[in-house]
Amino acid sequence: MALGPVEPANQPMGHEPRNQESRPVDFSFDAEVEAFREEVRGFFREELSEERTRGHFDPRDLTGFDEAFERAHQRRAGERGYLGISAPSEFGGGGRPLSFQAAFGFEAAYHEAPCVDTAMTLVGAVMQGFGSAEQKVEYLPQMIRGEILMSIGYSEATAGSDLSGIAMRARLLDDGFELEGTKTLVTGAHKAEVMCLIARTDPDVPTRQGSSLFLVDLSLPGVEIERRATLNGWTLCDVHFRGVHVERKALLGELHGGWQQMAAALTSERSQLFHVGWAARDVDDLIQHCRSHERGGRLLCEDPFVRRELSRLRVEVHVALRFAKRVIWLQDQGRIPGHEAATAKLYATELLQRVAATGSSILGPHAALARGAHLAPLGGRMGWARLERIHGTISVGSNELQRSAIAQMGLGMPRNA
Amino acid sequence: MDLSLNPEQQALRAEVREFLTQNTELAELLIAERSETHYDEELFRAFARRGWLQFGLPGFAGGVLELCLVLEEVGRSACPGPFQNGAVQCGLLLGALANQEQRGDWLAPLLDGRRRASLCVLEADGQLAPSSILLRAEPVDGGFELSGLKQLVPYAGTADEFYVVARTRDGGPGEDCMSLLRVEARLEGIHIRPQRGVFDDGAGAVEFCRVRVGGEALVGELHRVWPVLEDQLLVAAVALCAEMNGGAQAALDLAVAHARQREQFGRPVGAFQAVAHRAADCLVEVDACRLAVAEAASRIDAGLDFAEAASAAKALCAVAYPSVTAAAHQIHGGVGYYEDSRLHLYTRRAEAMAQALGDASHHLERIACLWAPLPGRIARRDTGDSTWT
Ligand SMILES: Cc1cc2nc3c(=O)[nH]c(=O)nc-3n(C[C@H](O)[C@H](O)[C@H](O)COP(=O)(O)OP(=O)(O)OC[C@H]3O[C@@H](n4cnc5c(N)ncnc54)[C@H](O)[C@@H]3O)c2cc1C
Repeated sequence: MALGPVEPANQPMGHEPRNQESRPVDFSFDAEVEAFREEVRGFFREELSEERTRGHFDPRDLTGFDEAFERAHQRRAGERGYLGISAPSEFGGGGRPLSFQAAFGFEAAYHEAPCVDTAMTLVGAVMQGFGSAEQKVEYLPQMIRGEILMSIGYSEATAGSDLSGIAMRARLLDDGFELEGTKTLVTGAHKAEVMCLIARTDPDVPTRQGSSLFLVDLSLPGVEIERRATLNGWTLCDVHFRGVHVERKALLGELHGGWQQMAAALTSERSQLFHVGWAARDVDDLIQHCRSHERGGRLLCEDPFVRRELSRLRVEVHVALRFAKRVIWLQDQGRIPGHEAATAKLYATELLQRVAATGSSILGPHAALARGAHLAPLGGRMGWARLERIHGTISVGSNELQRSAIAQMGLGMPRNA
Repeated sequence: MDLSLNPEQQALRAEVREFLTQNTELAELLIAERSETHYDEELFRAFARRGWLQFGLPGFAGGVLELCLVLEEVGRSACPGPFQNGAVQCGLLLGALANQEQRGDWLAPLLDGRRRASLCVLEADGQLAPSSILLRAEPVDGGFELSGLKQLVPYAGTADEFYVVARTRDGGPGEDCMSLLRVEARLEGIHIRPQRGVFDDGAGAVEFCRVRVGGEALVGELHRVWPVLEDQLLVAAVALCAEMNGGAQAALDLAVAHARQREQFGRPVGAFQAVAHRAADCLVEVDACRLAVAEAASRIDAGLDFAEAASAAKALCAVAYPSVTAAAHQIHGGVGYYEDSRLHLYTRRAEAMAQALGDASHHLERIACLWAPLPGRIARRDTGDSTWT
């Protein structure tokens, strides 16, 4: 992706152009990425065709598919080298810039493939950044080939936005550690082999100085996984660790260095392009629907309200796309995005909520039907989306925290505690 | 402007609240919603027997204001049941249209919960407009034969009878071609398929295949019920708004309680302005809706023109309820996304109710028709020079 200089956010707009000769900004991905996207699109179309997916739906899973389908699907994506497209080649990765990985995430979301929360997207960064040579050899090839599912255990009952409130302990033993505590709101733990978690290894110092990351095999004795239903039918997990004994090699990175590593890993691929993929799909489907369905004797797309609202959403999806691409562009240059990443997350997740709200008001009373309901427009997608889009603004750093980050990093506002 | 409740109204509210808080634990409500009937029939009958659904009807004590007090409590408790469509809407229509005999035979058993009714209005395009009503009732042998498909009919599967808005003759969009017919739900030719909503109110698509009814099934004047229907459903919209406000207030209460008790970064999250301001905005919205409903209800009870006030109330509530539940989720963080939080009871209802009886743009358009009637549409009222009273 070629993108002009990034404007400092506190620069007023409308100054004379700084570089008169600069070419018009090109917002498309590089030709190579575009070619890759096209290939991936073909892959997803085939993978998610009706014959392939029939009988594999599972509303109790976030992805909407059963585990067998998800695993087989991820393996095939892995075989083609998609999952690790931006990972180093020494472990079987594609070694391509992050824009490839982001483009894959976009298409996976657009096609609603169970390929968004892969082991690579969840744990890839922390593994590449801090895993020992041994751990990398053990896990990365499997992750890249799509042979393993992972989960993230940061949150606890007392620690959400403020992870320094974690209570989970990892007691140092001669031959390893003993884990005690409960992780909450964990995505996909019921099917994952491994959880990457943070626990306190030195309770006598603050969490920031006395915590460590672990890669824990979830089949170990003492691990209990409790599926808890969300309001949209699928489940998150509470994962209880009761005297779970792990070997020394389960430690990921430095002992007591977990906090810094976790923070660093959170600055990995942060474009959130998959959110934009979902939004683009919703808007495309709405447009299709409005071009082929009538109300009061005329096509919905001829209604001035519908025309403007859908056009507005198209504009906004493109805004979200540019915000995401700006992050990728920075990262591919080896720079660490600041307020740009917060902006991308904030905008995309709130856009998803606006799309569902506007989509529902366009579809009318039938929009509140559930997925699969009789005569539901778009198969009940909008009713489902209204409930599904709630959590994007809460998880992965709530949007309140993103706004604070934008104020502080983008505008230099003073920090308020 | 008098915002106080008289002692009887206060007592009524307390009584309804007490009845409902005893029977509406989250687990009980979910069991009821997922049961075959989609609500607790026993509980609903006990509620109806107390006479709480008779307010606002001609010939019964109390007005729409009392009805709103009752329904606000229903909204707060999130108790499922045919309160709105089955009782209030059918009741208002019978109250306005039925003859003496029909009222005795049909209205009373409906209001005390002995019979279960559903009003069938919406069809394929979901619009509350005569041009969207395509179901036909042809006159035959002194009676009618109905053919067509009604959709989103609440509690369709359990209803004993349907009140069906039908097109009884051709002509234009059809404001003067609409009739109301009472149809026994078990008649031959009626096929019901469930249409599960994000809030499952037992909605169904009800297909009428050449269903025969006698002449006595006609409620109100032949061909001419639409204006009455529109007016009565506007009253019903105010009642629906009251339920929505009760729900919005309950969602806000949950969020505030959570924000005061949940600590992050060493303080209650409610101490963060981002959280406090969002909750404050919710209170502003809920208050706006409350006052709008109180105004509309008292105008109806006083026999004043209420069209703008009622549409204003629905236009406000249709936006406010989902917006308050969205804010409440944000304030709750992850725990509010679990099914074992009460919050989703309100979130899911807000989706359905925002659209029922006309969404915000429907009612804004109706207000526009009051100050600038569109050519070809009959202006029912003249709003006069200044409407800022
Ligand atoms: C669907 C879903 C999936 C998830 N998956 C995972 C997972 O796989 N692994 C995992 O570890 N976690 C996961 N989480 C947890 C997620 O990371 C937390 O929900 C998130 O960090 C917010 O924490 P919380 O829910 O405890 O909310 P809280 O931190 O309690 O926040 C409550 C409210 O207070 C606000 N607030 C808090 N602090 C501040 C502040 N300083 N300034 C302004 N406002 C503030 C928040 O923005 C929010 O509105 C998931 C959550 C959800 C909803």
